[in-house]
Amino acid sequence: MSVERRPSFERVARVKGTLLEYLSLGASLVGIVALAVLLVYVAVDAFDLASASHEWILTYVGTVVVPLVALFLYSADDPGLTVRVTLALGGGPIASFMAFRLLAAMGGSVPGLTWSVFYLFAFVVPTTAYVLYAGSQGPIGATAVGLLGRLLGGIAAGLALVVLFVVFDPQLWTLAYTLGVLPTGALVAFARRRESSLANRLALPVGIIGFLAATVLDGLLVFYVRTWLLYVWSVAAPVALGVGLLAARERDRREAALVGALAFAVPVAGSLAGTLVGVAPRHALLVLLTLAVPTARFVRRALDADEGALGLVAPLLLAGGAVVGTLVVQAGGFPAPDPWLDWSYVTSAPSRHPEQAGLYPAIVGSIFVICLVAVLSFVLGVGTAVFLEDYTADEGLSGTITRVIQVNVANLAAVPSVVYGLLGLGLFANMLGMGFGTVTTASLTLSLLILPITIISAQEAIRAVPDHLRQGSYAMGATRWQTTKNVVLPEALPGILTGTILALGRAIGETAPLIMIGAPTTVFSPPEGFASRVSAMPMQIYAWADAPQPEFRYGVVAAGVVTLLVVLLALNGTAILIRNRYETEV
Amino acid sequence: MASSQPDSTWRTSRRTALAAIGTTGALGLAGCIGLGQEGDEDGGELSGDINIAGSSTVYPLMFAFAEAFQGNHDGVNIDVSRTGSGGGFQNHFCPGKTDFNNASRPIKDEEKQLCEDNGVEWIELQVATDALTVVVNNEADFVDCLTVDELKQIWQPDAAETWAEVRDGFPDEEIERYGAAETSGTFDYFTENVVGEAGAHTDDYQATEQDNTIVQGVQGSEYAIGYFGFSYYYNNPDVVKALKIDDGDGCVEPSLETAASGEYTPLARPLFTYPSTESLGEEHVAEFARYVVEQTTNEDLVAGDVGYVPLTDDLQSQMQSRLEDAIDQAQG
Amino acid sequence: MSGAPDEPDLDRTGGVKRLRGHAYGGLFAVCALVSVLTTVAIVLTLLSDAVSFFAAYPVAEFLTGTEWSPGNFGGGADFGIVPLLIGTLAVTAVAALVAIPVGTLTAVYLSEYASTRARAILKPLLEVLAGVPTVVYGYFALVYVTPALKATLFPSMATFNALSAALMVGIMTIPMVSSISEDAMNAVPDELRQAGYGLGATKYDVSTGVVVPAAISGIVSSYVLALSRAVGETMIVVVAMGAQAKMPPVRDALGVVPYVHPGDVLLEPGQTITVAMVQVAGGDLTGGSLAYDALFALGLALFVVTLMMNVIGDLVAQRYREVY
Repeated sequence: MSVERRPSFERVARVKGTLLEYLSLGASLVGIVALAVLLVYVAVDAFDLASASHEWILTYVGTVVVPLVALFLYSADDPGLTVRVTLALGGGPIASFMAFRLLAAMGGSVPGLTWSVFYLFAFVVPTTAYVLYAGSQGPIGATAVGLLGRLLGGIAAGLALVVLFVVFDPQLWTLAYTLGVLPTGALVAFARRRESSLANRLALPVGIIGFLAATVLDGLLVFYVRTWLLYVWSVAAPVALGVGLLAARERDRREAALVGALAFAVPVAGSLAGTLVGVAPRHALLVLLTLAVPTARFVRRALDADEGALGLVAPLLLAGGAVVGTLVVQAGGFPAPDPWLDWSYVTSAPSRHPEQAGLYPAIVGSIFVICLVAVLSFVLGVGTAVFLEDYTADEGLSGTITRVIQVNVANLAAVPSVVYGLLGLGLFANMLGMGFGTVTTASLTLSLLILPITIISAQEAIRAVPDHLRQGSYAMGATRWQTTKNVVLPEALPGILTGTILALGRAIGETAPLIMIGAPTTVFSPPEGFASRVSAMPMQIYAWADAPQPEFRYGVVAAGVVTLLVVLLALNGTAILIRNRYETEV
Repeated sequence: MASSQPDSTWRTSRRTALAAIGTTGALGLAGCIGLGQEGDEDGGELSGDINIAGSSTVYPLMFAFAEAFQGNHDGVNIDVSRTGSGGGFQNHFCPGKTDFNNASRPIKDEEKQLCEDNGVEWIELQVATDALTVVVNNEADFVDCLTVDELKQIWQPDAAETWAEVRDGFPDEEIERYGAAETSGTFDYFTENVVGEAGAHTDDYQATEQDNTIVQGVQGSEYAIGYFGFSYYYNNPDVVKALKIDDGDGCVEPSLETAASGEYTPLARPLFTYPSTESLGEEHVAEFARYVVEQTTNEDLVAGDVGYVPLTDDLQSQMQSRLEDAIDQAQG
Repeated sequence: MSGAPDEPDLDRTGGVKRLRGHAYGGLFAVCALVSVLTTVAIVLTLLSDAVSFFAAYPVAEFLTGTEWSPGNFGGGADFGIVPLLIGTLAVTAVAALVAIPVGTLTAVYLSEYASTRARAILKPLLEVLAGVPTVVYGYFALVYVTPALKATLFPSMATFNALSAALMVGIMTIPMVSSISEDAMNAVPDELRQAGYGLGATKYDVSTGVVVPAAISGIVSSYVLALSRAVGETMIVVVAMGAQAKMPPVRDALGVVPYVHPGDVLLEPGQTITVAMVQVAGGDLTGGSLAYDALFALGLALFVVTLMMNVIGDLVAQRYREVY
């Protein structure tokens, strides 16, 4: 931009240049802005914000958002930022109100939005997001974000575990754990300590035999033990043991034992208390395990640290704000929205009545299918990538094979998903007789669909492993397999995991292949096994989208869309976390 | 050794993670072999899967039946798919993969043949009647009955502007049209059977998903015409005037009887479901079939929630005995 | 694969170990085989049913027929692909009109103008556009975009129409164009830019006169790949475009020149190849086995078209790739 001494005839050229710069900037934003607007509308519909009164929105902004923003502003410690944020949050309502008045005076209106909803999405959400980002650079903000993240992530992981146990039978898991995992673990631990290769060798067969025994026994026995007890034995105990072992690395034995005991006792006791608030203890146990253990560890560390402990009040601020906000709203009698997306929506089955319709079977179905897809595509994708990267040469027959497979993978990545659906229909459903719309057919089809993406990302991750590590391993006398197992795969694992999870995000949103393989339009209960017919979230959205009643189209489907996007966000967030952690480690 | 400690633990933990992923995967895969038997409280509870496919017209009705049935029987898992009547017979029912096939028309000969070749036996149960009513203002004395061809002139894409264009002697007034929105099954059915091509419909009309709006529109003008599902008119016969329809055999008025008997053509059709006899041998399927037949006269559900014409009591008892015979035979 | 040159032969002593190494190599090879088998299986499944379809229905009529009605109300079923091609072309063309200029300009901005920080924010956000499930885009098109367009620009627009669906397809494919084009522009060596500046060129001249021409192969191949994605896109059009396969009416300009008004295609319901497939697989059709086989014939057509576009995209990229 240093243009002072240029001759004036170049001014034209400069105008062109500036024009191109702003035009191209505008172009990069146009898609993002369009999507953002659509997302605002779908959120407004899903949470019924259009019928929220202005007072309701302003109250909650004041009690929940403002204290949190203040905390982060304090953390950021930037007077300029504070002024701008105060202007945006304080002036926003006035500006929005005036703008809507002005528009109305000119005879226009913004369909579906009130000025307070506009304020919420145009001022509050972006400002808060920016302040959270800026504040998290300071120690207080970092602590607050870390704690909130662990709380949210813990609850999400716990719920995912609950859902997994809906499909994966807890009884079978307990048997497999008792007979398979536990002895194997003991043998491995023994082998490590005593350097006994016999124990090491025995570990795998023992595990397999124990596991087979478990499957056989599972068919014969019916436990009359409460599922809660099964979880205490087969989930809480090993988690506590793991926590204790981890603690033993940093502290002395007594303290470690205490930590382990606490990690066991707190969730177990807490889950029993769950009955008091109407949560089934077995569900409370799982959520508490994923919630309490990392949170406690984080709080402990934050308290030990020199600064930033103030950030620990963030959840209290939020909870307190919510309570105060509710009291004010009730005292003032402000009309509240009646959101479509609420707890009953994610826990009940589809219904012909929009108010009762829910997504539960489809959510469980999606998660079940995605778990299987994850296993299948991970194994196949990593296997193929290792083969292509480390087991073939560049020249000769082997090189030709590599190139053929490589071209093939690239082309597969561009095959439309609906064609994969036909493959599933013709091959898995009809020819191999796996059934229309069953879990098996759906998972196999979706696995093949994302296989090219998994392969390509796994290849990139493996290629990124520095060659000197491989050479070092070979120089130590390791075989190719040992090098792959001990050097290449561990080193490439974060990259592979990131790529696989992103690919799973693609699989969870796919609808066309499911339609093709005849996934049922409506199921009322979650799948129970491989051969169950399964619905998935996008499938249910599709089934509802052409329902004639407006309550379905604008309410129920919007709620489904938001649920699907939240699950996707959680998946991608996990992938980003893994990547970031990996980047800081190396 | 000490200096490489952090690195090696990280590597070990990654290797462990790799192993853990593998193990979890294997366990997960095998885990689904076992089916959950999370204690059902009463032992006599029905359990099992019921797969239903077929017509998308019957789908909302079967959905409603299944939802209501499932509310009382937690152990039964029902899934309902829209595959089309023919697609359902062809790909799902006759190959023996579904327990029920819904159809908006009777089974065809080639489908019977296909089922027979695969050894699939079935019975035919009527579950409701789908009928549309064409209505005009109560004051519109000039018209009582329209032929299908005249209806087509009113609703086809290149539609008549005035009543006079439809028939000599009708007033030279512009036609105000109120019809179904493009998203509804009513729209598809009306265009298929009146205009002759699915989706072909004039643009010059008020489209709505609410029967009430159509009624209000038609009440508002002497020269208005509208159509909607039969159930609304059945419940509110006085608010507007239903037209008789002449499909070549004289004018027929819409009523429960003419709709059920098949005289009221082309705007009425019986809707069926075909349970497979073999599946009826299983108690939970038989119980669901009984429930369906029992509910076919439930006006709240069939007409109120779904908008079809319920069966008459006669027809219902006919279906009931047909079903019981089949169940007896199947359960030996 | 035995004895790859880069492997030091240090494990000569351990025969079992070596065997185990080969076993694992074989296992990986089997994994790699799966992807090849997938291609083979796709081709075979499509071909086997498509062949039985073409045995009953002439290929020529399939390719040139102007009537697509796989159900058989009122007479025999017709399986002419032309109306479906028109629908597919219309959607692809509008999507291209959105994605190509926007995507290219985005790539120019990202590679030539954006600061490191702006890139770090913009690139993941752009990827989000491609990550949103397509059924969600379809829902947006049907429920928000169509009413908005109807209220403002096109009052005569039908509830189901090609335009809103195509706009959403365009938005979805923006990141495809932008990321591949940007990679191509980034690959242009900085010396070329410096040389341009050295000759007194402005940033505008360098961007449009040096970088874009040098990266043209990558840019063109990004177009082809994005178009191929638009051709194969299913759920957006299924949800938002309706399901009427029809030929647009031919109008006469000044009474003599026949033309097709874009509004007759874009503002009306239509059907693409993919919509027809979903329709046959999940709709209320009575066509019987011939319609089922037609599904695979359509799939084959789609597969061939998208495959060809990819091959062309690759060829273009190679043909014009300048070796620096």
